[in-house]
Amino acid sequence: MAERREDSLKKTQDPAEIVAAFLHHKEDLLKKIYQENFHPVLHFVLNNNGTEDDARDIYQEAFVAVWNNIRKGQYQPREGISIAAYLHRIAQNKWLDKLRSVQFKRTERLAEETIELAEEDSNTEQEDRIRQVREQFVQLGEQCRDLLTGFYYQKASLRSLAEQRGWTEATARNNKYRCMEKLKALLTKKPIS
Amino acid sequence: VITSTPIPETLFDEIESYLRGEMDTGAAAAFNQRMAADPMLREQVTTVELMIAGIEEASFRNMTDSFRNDYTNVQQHPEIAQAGTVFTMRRLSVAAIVLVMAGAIAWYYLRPGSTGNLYAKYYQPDEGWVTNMGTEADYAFSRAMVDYKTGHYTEAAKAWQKTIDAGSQSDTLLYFTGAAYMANNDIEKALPMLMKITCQPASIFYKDACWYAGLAYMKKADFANAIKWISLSEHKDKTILLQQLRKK
Repeated sequence: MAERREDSLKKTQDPAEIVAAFLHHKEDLLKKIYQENFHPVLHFVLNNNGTEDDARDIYQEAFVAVWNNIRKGQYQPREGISIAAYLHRIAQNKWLDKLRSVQFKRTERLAEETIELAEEDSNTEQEDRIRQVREQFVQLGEQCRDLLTGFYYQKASLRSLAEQRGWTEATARNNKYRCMEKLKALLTKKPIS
Repeated sequence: VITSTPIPETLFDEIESYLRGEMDTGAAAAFNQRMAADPMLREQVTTVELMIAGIEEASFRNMTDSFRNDYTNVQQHPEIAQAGTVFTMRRLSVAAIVLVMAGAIAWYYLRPGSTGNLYAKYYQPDEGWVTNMGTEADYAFSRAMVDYKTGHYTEAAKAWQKTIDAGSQSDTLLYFTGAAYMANNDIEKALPMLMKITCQPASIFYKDACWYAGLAYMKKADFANAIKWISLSEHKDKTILLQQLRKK
């Protein structure tokens, strides 16, 4: 089974290229990786008291965790563990954690013990802060969201963002600052003029 | 901690440049020294760092949400559909096995002349004992007898078992505890109680205990013991039941 999982990713690209896809948000390749590796997670969750929706939720979280660990340098491609296997193990651990949670306390069957993953992030306080930022980010207006996403996530230059919007570069810089202040005000619940 | 202290635009640009690794080595070292000496600056840097991380993660999640939405129909993906089929087939197989076993068990017990059918035909719970609610010692027994006679066999057995566990071994107590277990369809617990009475031919419960012990063995398909103990009873159905058991 593990070999089959890893084979599916080998069909996509080599490990370094996959890491680059996560780091540089190459959407087409990430989508392919996402789709090719869902099957083992679905299979695992279905066989351990979960539903298809549970599998999708867990897989989503695992995919984000892999991305976070790659950009923090906590995962390096090496012999013995491919990203496909790494992704599957994180999803597996997350599902086992959920089975042990209060909601599933009466569930008796656990397929396997949690697999040790030293690379998995466990800074819950920081995760909580980041979650707060995410929640407030969606409250920002669309223009601010687009501008901040373009600059911080897509790594677009201020010049290109300014050109797309018919602004000067200085205006783009100033608007970006204002959007960040709006976001900070939302996070600290302070009204901004 | 997200600071509520305003971050001036020039300082914001400086912090952002530091976090994005755009400062040269000297400027970065100088900035590090300023942070070491200024807690407020450290807080401001942490705030901007968390905000950028949150924006990136929100954007990444937004992208994976679109992946998920593009990939919702399992039926379009044969390998996943196959996994679901295997899973469903496994469940159906288990269900089929359970149904076949349940059918076989029902047939075994309900077919004419079957042990289960004979047991159901000849077993009637003992009607119970006259309660007098006399002494305090009798009270607990009598109270449980009320439960027994009103069909609350579990409660009766539990109360009497407690008395037995405390050391009492009277034949009345043992017999009715066995009777309560048997009425509750718990043959494994009933039989040891009844067998203690079958060792006491002088007991007024001896003949009845032999009958019920015989029925219990019959239910366990132990026909030799069933015939032995039913033979020692004086139940009105003893002869006809023995005839049927000897055909087994």
